[in-house]
Amino acid sequence: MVRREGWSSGRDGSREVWQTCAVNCGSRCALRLRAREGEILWTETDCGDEEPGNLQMRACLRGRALRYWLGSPDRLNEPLRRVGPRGSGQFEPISWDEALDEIAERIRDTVAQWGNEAVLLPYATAIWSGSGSPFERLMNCYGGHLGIYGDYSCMQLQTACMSLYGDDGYYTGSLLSEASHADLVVFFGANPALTRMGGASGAHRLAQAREEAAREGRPFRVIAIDPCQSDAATGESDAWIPVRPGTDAAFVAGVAWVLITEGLADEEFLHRYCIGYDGATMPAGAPASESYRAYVLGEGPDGVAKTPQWAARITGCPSARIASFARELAGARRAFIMQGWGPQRTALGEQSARAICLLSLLTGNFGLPGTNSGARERLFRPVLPDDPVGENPVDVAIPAFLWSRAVERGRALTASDGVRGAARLPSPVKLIINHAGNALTNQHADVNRTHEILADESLCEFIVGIDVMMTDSMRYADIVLPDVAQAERDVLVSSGNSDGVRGVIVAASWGGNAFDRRCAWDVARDLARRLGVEEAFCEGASTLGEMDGLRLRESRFAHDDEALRELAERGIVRRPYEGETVAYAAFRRDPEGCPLPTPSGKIEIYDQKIAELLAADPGLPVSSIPAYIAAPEGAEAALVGPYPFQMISCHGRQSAHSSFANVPELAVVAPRRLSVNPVDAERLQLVSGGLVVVENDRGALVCRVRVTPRIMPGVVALPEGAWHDADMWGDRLDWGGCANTVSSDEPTAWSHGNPHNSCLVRLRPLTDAERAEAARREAAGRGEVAR
Amino acid sequence: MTRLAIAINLDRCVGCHTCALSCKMQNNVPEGMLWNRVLTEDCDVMDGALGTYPNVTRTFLPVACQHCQNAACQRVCPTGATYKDDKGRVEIDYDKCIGCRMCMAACPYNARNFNWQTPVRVTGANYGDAEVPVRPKGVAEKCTLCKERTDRGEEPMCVVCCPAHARIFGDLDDPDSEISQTILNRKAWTLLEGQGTRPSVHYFE
Repeated sequence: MVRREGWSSGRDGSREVWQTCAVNCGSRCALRLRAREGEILWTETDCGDEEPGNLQMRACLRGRALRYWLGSPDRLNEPLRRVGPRGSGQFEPISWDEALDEIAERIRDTVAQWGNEAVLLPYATAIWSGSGSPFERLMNCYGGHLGIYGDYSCMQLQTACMSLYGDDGYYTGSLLSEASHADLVVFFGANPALTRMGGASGAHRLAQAREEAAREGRPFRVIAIDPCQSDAATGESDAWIPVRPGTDAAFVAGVAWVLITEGLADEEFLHRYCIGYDGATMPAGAPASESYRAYVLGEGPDGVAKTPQWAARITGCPSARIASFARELAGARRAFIMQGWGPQRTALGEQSARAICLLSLLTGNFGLPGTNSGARERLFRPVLPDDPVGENPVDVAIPAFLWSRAVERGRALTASDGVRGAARLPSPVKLIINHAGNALTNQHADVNRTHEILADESLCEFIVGIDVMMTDSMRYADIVLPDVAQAERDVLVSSGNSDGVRGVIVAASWGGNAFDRRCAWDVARDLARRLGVEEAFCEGASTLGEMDGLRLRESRFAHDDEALRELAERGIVRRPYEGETVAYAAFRRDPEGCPLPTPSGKIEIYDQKIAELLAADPGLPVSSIPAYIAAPEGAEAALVGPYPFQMISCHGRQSAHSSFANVPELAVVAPRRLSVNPVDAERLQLVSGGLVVVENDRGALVCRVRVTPRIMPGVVALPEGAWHDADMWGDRLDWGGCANTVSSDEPTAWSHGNPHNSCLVRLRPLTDAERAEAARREAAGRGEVAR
Repeated sequence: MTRLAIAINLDRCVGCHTCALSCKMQNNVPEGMLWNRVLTEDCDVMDGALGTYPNVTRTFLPVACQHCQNAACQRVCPTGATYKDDKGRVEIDYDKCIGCRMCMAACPYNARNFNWQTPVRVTGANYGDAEVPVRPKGVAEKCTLCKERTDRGEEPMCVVCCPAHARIFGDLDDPDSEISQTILNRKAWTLLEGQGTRPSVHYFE
């Protein structure tokens, strides 16, 4: 028998450690690794005891591919200094001392000349749920930095929840398992079977809820309202109602018209718990004609009745289907209504998000077993606090998505752009420290425009990049520092915010500091020494180990001796979730005794703050009620303009955002494809597996097509995360198929959020020259085209 | 007798392909090769669907070696390299395999791979369970039902890895085993029953 050929010593010298798959997918799955000299030999996951509510944190295909990812040729192994134009990816190796001396000097000079507000630590999520950034801690010790608030995940939904319910909605939704008490489950743009694949996460918990309901003789039906068919609604009894991206508020208005005119709305609930539904519930001074009911019935300022026929023209969904859905929803004993983060990630996403929540309210499916708030399912607070980063002495902050404008427009950015803590930006951004983030280009938006901003060295004068891979964002760094991945170092990790358990894992290092890589904490501490703030940096904890001790003492297991013993013995501890399971149940039980943290204490269908904004500037694309507003790159514009397709950039299985997107092994099982409806494919002569160019005024990308009836005609879907790959000094055609080559960086008017799913494009065949280039790349096995 | 087998709950499978990747990590499966694939029922593309827009359904179908009782691959193997072992598993003796690929032509499930070249392991060296033999160029390979794990009394990797808990492992010859009971109660079926291969791998909903 041929055995162990090529194994120098079997498992000799290897050791087994606990680790976690530490990227931004929502889960934090446990990995059991056998590793030797910085190489993973074998991967296993959480195989601990399981009981109801205490699910194993089993890793998905990405966690299993950790060897391929961390061993990738894109891995950074030594400090680099840029030698070509910024963004060209031309670097030379330098020593750590040279690199850190230069960075310290640039930080010192920038702060001296421009102030601390000129230093930005942009949105970055690749190290997540394990630690705050040590570079944030460093800058907080050195006088602070320009703050950011919000995120790229769900800015508009947070704003919508704040408006309706008085909180950001993260930890106030119902558990997915609550669906087992419903007879109808409605998902708007939600796909937990794909976005929540970890063993303790949504896919498995939804499957369990389905089985529990079926076991008890009341199986529920899933209706997915979505431009592409959700994996959660592919069963025989399920239904898919396709609607065009960004038109959810129009769909809801059409449904509301049926509910109201047929006497199916739960007016008793609306009158007791909400303001703004009708004339009787409007706040003092607000006219009845501005209520949601008046809007739907055509008694509002626009005088248009929001009939299903009206909604059909906008949504692309037949009016009869809208009406039958309304009646089915009204007839459900309990309906669990939930949205993913896709609908809100649009130019008028706040309106979509609020409108979807409204369906829960109109039908009284709220605060009771088997119901939800219409927002996303409940996320879970981490068991451990992040590494403390200290207080930022600078109180000026910008929305996370507006960083490129803060670089470009500097002091011209004002409070109306979302600047907080000052009337306008005190200083342009002159120095960026980008740690574990690919949102400078790849995961930001409008890559070509952002390139112009970053490539102009008179704007941002210095960029430091700290990461584990040479991502597209790292190519814009002036100095690149090679980090040790979180999955390679000693760290205490909490279960993720989508894991329905309370878990802690003692992750141990296994040789990731090979080559000339250094852990970010040690690097930041060295910089602190150079900047004369090492003492402040080390206050409370001078090493990561001490930091973890602090975090454990502040954790939810701090006083649970049994859990701590288990953690010490086994390296992993997992307990069932404890806490509220139904959104706003206390408010439903006792609205006077447990009011919501809104100005009125009730659910605010009518937002007075927005009404005031509109009184000052009637042209603002916002509405005081969850009305439908057409987006500049929405369904209507697609029908008349040069770009006939609405493109959504959904999640895929092959990567968690851009993490793992460079792993060919994952592309084998889940190739990244542009979903195109057969009707469109036939007209454009596209076939599955064929190449196509996706383009608009902002840019052009190449990707492969999947012809599938699981997407609406007129809509295409491209999983985001692919690595941008273009000649930025040439034609800029993106051979990597990065969705943000064509997406817009125009923030939403209300919450200054990212509108990635409001994006119009056209599809065209490759030119002869492009086809020849594609063949060259394919033959060389280069990049996405070869997968 | 013992007849080890897997039964797969298609209602639970979410098509995540974790079984494919963890099998690869366990068994040192070379670049570009999979022992375990997730197909979409009745579709010729990965992640396809049945029906016409918008009335569409889709069922994922994880497929690996079916460990048939009447294994076509074994019947055609001229050297006895493919054999049925005492636990009901279809295995390959790589030393006896002459690379004729008759087995690949005979297998109706397309479960086998062939090492046309010296196998390449991504990032450069062998990995996986140290007990798993390394296959050289010129031999066929496929799912072994995690022979090394199941010999140690462990479950196959695709069973313990599945985030959706879609797989049950056990002995078909034990009428009281969970797998036998499930096959009976859930009216499980096998793939391509008309071929007469009598697979050990079962599917149910």
